Amino acid sequence: MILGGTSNITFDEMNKLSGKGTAAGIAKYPKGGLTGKFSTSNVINGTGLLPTQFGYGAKSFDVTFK
Amino acid sequence: MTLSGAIGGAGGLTKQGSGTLTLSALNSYADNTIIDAGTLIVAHDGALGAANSGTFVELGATLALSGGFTYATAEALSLNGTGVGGVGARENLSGNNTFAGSINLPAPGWIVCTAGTLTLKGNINTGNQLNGGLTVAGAGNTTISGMIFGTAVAGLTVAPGPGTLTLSAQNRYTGTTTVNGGTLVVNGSLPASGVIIVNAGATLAGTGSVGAVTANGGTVAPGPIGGIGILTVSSADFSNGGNLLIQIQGYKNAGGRL
Repeated sequence: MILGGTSNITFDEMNKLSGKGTAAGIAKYPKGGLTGKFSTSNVINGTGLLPTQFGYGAKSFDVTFK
Repeated sequence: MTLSGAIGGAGGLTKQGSGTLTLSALNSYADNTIIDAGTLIVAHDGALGAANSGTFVELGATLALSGGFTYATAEALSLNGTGVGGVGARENLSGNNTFAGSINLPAPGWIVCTAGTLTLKGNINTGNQLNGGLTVAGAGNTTISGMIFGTAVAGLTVAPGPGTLTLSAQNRYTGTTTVNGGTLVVNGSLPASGVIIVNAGATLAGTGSVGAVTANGGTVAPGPIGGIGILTVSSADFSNGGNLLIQIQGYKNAGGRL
C-alpha cells in the first residue's frame, strides 16, 4: 500500500463511537508492504473522539482514539 | 408513436428516423429488431419480438426501458455508441426495471440509468476495442449481476454523476476500470490483475475483491454504502490525493477495513 504524498484518511464515527480505544487492523497489507504514511486525517460524524496515534505495523496499521 | 397491438410474422422490426417509438405489447415477430436512429422505448416484456433473434442498437440510437417492469425474455442486445444526444445506447428512463438478456459491445457503448434503478442480469461482453469499452452513467442506480468479460482496453468506465453502479458477479474483463464520478460498489470480484483508477469526486466501495487501486483524488470506502465491511484489493496507492474512508462504531472487529 502506497501512502505519503497527499494521501488522506477519513474516519466516519457514525455518531456512535464511544470511549477510548484502538481499532486494530484497519488496513492489512500482507503482499507488498507499506510505503509512507497518511499525510492528513479527518473525522466526520464525530463523537468527540479523535485519532491520536497511528500504529504502522509490518502487516497492518492500527489507530487509537482518545 | 406507440404500437400497443401485437406484432407478429416472419420478419423483423427496424426503427428509423429521429423520433420515438414505444412498443407496449408482447410481440412475436421472428427476426431481429434494429434501431437505426432515434429512440425505441420498451414498455412490456417480450416487446422486442422472439427471444431467439436479437436487438441491435446502432450508433446514435437508443433503446430505453420505462415504466418499472422485468424484461424476463432473454433478448440478446448489441449496443453501439452513446445513444441519442449521449443519453446512452441503452437507457433506463424511469422506474425500477430489470433486463435478463446478454449484452454485446461491438463498439464502445454507454448504458445510462437516467432515473430509477436498472438491473442487468445477463452477461456483458465489452468486446476488444482499443478505444473504449462499457461506460455506465446517469443519476439512477444500476446493478449488473451478470458477468462482465472481454478485452477492451478501457474495460469499464463509470461516468461523472451521482449514481451508483453495483457489480455482484465474478467478473473477468481485462481492461482498466475508471471511476470518474458516483460510486462503484464491487460486491463480487474484479480480476486481481486488473487496474482500477478512482478519480476526484468518485468512490469505490463494496465487500468484494478487486485488483490494483489507484485513488487519484477519489475515495476508497470499504464496505457497503453507509455500512461497515471489508474490501480486498491487490494493492492500493493513495499518494496522489487519495482518501481512505473508514467507518467505525466500535473497537472490537474494528470498522470498515481494506
